Amino acid sequence: MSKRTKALSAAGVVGAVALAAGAVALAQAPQPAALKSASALAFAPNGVLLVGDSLGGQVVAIETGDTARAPAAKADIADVSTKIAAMLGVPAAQVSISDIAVNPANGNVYIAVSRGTGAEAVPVIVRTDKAGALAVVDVAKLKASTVAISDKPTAPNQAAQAITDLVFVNNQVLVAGLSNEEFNSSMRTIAYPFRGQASSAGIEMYHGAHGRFETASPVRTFMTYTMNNQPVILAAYTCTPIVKIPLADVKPGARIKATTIAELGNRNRPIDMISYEKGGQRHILLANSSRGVMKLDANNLERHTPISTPIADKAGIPYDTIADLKDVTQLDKLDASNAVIVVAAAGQPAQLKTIALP
Amino acid sequence: MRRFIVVLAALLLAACRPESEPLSYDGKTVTARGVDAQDPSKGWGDILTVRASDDPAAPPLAGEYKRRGDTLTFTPAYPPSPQVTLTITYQAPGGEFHRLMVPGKAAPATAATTVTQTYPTTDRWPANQLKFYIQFSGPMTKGQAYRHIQLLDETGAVLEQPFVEFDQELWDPGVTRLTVLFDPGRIKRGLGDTDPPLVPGKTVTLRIDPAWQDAHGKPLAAAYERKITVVPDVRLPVDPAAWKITAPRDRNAPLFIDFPRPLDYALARRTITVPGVEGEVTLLANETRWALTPLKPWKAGRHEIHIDGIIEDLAGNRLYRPFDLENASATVAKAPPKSATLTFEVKG
Repeated sequence: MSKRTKALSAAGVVGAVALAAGAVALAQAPQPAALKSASALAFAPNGVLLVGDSLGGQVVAIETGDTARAPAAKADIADVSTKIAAMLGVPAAQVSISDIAVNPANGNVYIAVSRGTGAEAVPVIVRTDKAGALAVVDVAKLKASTVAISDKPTAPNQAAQAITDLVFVNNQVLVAGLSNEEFNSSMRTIAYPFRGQASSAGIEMYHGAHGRFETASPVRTFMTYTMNNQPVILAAYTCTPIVKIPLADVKPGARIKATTIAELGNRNRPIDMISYEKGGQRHILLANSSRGVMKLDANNLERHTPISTPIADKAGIPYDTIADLKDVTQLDKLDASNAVIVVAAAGQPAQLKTIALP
Repeated sequence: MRRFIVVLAALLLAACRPESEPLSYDGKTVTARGVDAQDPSKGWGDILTVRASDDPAAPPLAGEYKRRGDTLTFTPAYPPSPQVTLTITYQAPGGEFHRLMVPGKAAPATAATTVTQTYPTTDRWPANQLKFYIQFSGPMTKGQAYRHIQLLDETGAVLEQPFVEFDQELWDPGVTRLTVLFDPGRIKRGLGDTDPPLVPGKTVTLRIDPAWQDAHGKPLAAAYERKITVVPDVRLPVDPAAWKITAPRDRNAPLFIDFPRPLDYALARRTITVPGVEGEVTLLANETRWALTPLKPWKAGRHEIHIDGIIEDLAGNRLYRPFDLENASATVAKAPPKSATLTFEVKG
């Protein structure tokens, strides 16, 4: 690392100077990254950070250059929101964390931050390093490619998109979102590297509690999973069906019949989910607004019969609630044995913690 | 004359000060003078540090250092908020220790923000009402919405979690209008274990707590309350065949369309258009009447009205398609048309 890089790092900014190596080749000519917001994060290979930008109506693939492989170090930063506020020069109440993503190459945790809470708010990406220090990722100095997620509505308008989650799988980016006007639950699939406009795949979902097709429930969080050696999407909805969709069915413009494989009960909203193996058993961990964190038995998920009749409360996949994990607002997998969480009780600073996978 | 001298003196002082002071801050850049020619081994942050926090464990302000000759500058990555106190310390190797405090200022006084309207404006909402909008007079702070919006039943009891809560919150780009969704899991038929928040024949009160902060951190001017009478579900598609068109009575007059029931405020404004005609769209009569007043006189002859399929009524029923269907297989098999066209005539 050069002296200049050291100086920049000491000031808490990770710039492009040190990170030019290892950039992935993108089909679209890379431009400096221009974000209007940072709503959801996910990693693609080669250190490319995908940012769901709700206000910009776009997904931005940023070449972080953070490609050095290393074992993950535990990330534990007390009052992380207060510390980020100090770096960004705002009162602590002006910082909010909208998502985290762990770089699978080295366990560095990337944090999507809003600096400011009103219309003047600017997005900032902050990351941790091995020593547990925080640094601002200077995205304007990094190369990026961009794809719009929808046609921009014409003025006068107050319409806006909200990207609720995104994942990278098999050279495609899957984006879940909704609008503040039309109630179109949409999941979109975008081929990566980005070559043109996004295309969208509408998903029709059978909700076990209602006994009929629903066409308009917003997906809260989703992930990819392997069932019967086939990749599937597992998606969680408000109050709280888990559905599976064969990845092969997710094609631009497709109308998909999702299969409900679990009902986890009412009055809660799923936040994030990850899958892992421990002691030869497969599990899914689902962070949730009102039930702490749920640990689902994910062995042989394919054996659960699809739910197609009204369900009073719960059915399908058995789960335990990890009672001591409360107020978890973000969750991502750190490595094979650990997860990173953000814990934020109402009115309290957010905490970044590493927990052993239960 | 005296004022002129004072201003001149201040200008001279401002101009001279950075040249003479070892450590200065002009509101944008921190400048330290007398820096040793050698780069410090631990980085410039080791000798010139800018903090925006009282907490010594907090990282320093993020920004960029540049050295030219014996002058070192630090430019924050983001201009610090005027409300934040900056503590700047500087000590060149073997040199004197300097400290500069830039005290934070109180937020400027601003007029209190109010709730100017909630939509739909009708006081009769169907039991399967899908969403409503809260329009404020100015920008608000994000991240507080669901703590401050309540639905009360006739006894004044607060209904439990009637809304879909999103951390992002569904604001317009200017952060002056919030969209609140009712939980679709609770407004569907056949859900046995939870009571829907809206029951036909009952009255609910929508209450907005004045503690909700605007973009300046100030509470709202007053609480907002609205009584809503709940009427039976609406489970019919939006069908333009049932709309009544009143063609402009002359070439400057508005075009009117009357709907048999209210449509969604935001969508009705932007999904009904007359191609090739610019003008002002207004919604009247509790969103049952749409009016387009043209900027230029209408051309005589036949015009088309285009309706985008994303248009919704209060319950989220769309063009030719109810929000949910009894016959699910029919939904999958046949996608409804994505738009509709009506026509009207302007007499010459």
